[in-house]
Amino acid sequence: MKDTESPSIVPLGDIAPGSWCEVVELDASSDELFRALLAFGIVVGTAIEVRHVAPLNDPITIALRGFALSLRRSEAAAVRVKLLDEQP
Amino acid sequence: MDNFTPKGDSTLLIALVGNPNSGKTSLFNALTGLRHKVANYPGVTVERREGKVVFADGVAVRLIDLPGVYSLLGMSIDEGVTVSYLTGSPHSVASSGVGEKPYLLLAVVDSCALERGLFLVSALMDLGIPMVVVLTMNELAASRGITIRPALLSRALGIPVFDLSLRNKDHINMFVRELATLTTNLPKLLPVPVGGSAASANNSAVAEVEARYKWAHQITQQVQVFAATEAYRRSLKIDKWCTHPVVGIALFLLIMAGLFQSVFTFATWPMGWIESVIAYIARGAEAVLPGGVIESLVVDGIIGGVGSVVVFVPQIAILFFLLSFLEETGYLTRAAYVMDRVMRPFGLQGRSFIPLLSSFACAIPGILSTRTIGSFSDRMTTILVAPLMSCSARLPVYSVLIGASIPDNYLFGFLSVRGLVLLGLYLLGIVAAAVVALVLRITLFRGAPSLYLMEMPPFRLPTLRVPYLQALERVKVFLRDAGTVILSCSVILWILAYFPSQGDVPTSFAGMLGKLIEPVLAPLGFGWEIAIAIIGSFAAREVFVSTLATVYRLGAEGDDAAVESLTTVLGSRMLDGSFSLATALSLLVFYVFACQCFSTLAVVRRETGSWKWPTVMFIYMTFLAYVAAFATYRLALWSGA
Repeated sequence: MKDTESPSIVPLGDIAPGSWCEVVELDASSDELFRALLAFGIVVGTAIEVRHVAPLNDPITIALRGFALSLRRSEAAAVRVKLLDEQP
Repeated sequence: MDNFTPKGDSTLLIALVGNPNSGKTSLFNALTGLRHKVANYPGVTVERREGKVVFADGVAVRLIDLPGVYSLLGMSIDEGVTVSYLTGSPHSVASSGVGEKPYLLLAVVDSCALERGLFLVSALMDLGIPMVVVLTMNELAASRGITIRPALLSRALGIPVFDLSLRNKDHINMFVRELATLTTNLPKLLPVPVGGSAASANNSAVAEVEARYKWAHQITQQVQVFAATEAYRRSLKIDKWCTHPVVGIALFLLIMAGLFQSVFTFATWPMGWIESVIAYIARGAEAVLPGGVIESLVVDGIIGGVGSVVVFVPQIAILFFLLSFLEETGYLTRAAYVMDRVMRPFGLQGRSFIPLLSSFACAIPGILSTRTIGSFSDRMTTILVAPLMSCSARLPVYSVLIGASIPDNYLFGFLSVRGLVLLGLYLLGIVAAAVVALVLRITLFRGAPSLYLMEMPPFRLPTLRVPYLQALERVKVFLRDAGTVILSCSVILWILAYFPSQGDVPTSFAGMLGKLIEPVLAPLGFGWEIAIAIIGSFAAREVFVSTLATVYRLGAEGDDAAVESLTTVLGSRMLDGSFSLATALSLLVFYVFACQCFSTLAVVRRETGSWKWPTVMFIYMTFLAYVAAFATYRLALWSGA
């Protein structure tokens, strides 16, 4: 029952650099990663901007809450987001 | 029970807490001035960084600088130390004398990341410890278009907020005066708990974090205004270039090459100057002292020994200065970011990059800074290969041997052959590190987890003050070592080399010892003099140079003549055949791999809590050193060196 109007939920790494997105859900299967994401304030509803990607396509840099963070694609996969049309 | 006055005659203890890179340590230095126990190794916050702040009325308080934390969740060893210190819970492996809680917290908040800083502050406010907030980096924040109203923030938090510019002496003095007044009435500084932990009554860390960040966000909206400036946009652009697939890599290689080139180019003149000063002192001593034992002790042993090492101060100072400068700009995090993908197949990660880079200066601060690596396998691998990054102590050894045995030629007219050999030695260490790390990954650490997630602080143009202080600190440590370890080793070795044979080295104690070991080292092309020097250099690698200098000087004919540097002495030995190119090359390779630093082994033992890992380190490195030197010697002989 997919509403064709609303954007799909994708892993954070799928968002193109320069775009903003909002966290929809977090994968808590890795406790260590989950706590690290929490400590940096990545929770449901957080607005994230994808800044750029490293030369070998991994890791990626994101911006949120006034600071920047880099994380591997495998780590970003635990953050599922929906694309936003513009910066909130 | 009154928790706010020190018991007995213990002085008040104040703790600095805050995010990493928030200017905490700079504040600590500004407040304590020279009155603090300097951790020997700059660039890392060791848990017991404690100092004294003295107020106008003469009252002194103790100030302790805690490792930076993003939250009280304890994500790494560093963070665990701070958490256990503040909460009194046995959270971490490190035993840092937990038990004495601070009477006052100085919560340091980076003005450029207010919301994140306030997240931590909310958790700190729930600890039940009197607290004030110190905002730092206000010039950087202003340049980026961030304006914060400290008075508003203070009202929102219910505790005093100070907006300090650390470069401003008046600010610091004013703050110290304020502190003096505040410490007389600590109960007033007890914050009203934010109550985030009420949410965790649902047993949910997530709910607690969400509540705290919501609180932090609300307050940030109230007290901060952000309007992106040209400088802000420029730093974003620089960031894009530094991480660009082509430009980023090219820039990285250029900067690394430039770093090491500068060390050698800029240091040449000061080194030459120091050499001539030492020669002058030696000549003076020769003229003044009666010949015989005393003269030999002073000129050959002390001046020759210590002097041959002190001459390297410029190189060490420049290397540490440049590394610190690079770190202050924020570039090193970009380098780690770029390097992560490359380092991963080897069981390392982006965060290993900075410790390994630091190890080119000295493995000890490098190993200490692996505390930020949360994953055990990543951290251990980094620690184990760190000594393969040729440290500054090896520089004297490399320089002397290369200067004596490699001709001063230039490829294509501008590439120094000597420089290339030196570069080759460094690369050899790096390649070996990659191989060893790979071996560890597929054997000991197969399948171990690794977390990368890393903050990227904004770029800034640093003052020259911090790198200058870092370099100064390190030079002081080096000279202190020269004054103690190297001096005593030089004297002891001189004694062993002079007696009982009145200066005839081959028949002295040292000579006999060297001859005893010679058979083991002969396959590597090492004679007994080198054997003595290698033994001596277990105390400190630089001692190799001073030992050899002493031994050869004692053995030189006509040593009333002008004092020559070890390079010259070795050079002439090469000409007369007593010191071959093959031996020189073999010796150089030996020093790339040999584990000859008891201090490093001691630090590894302290950081890992057992002798297991230092032993592993010593064994594998010694094995590598022997095999590689042997192979080099045979290859060199075979190809006609």
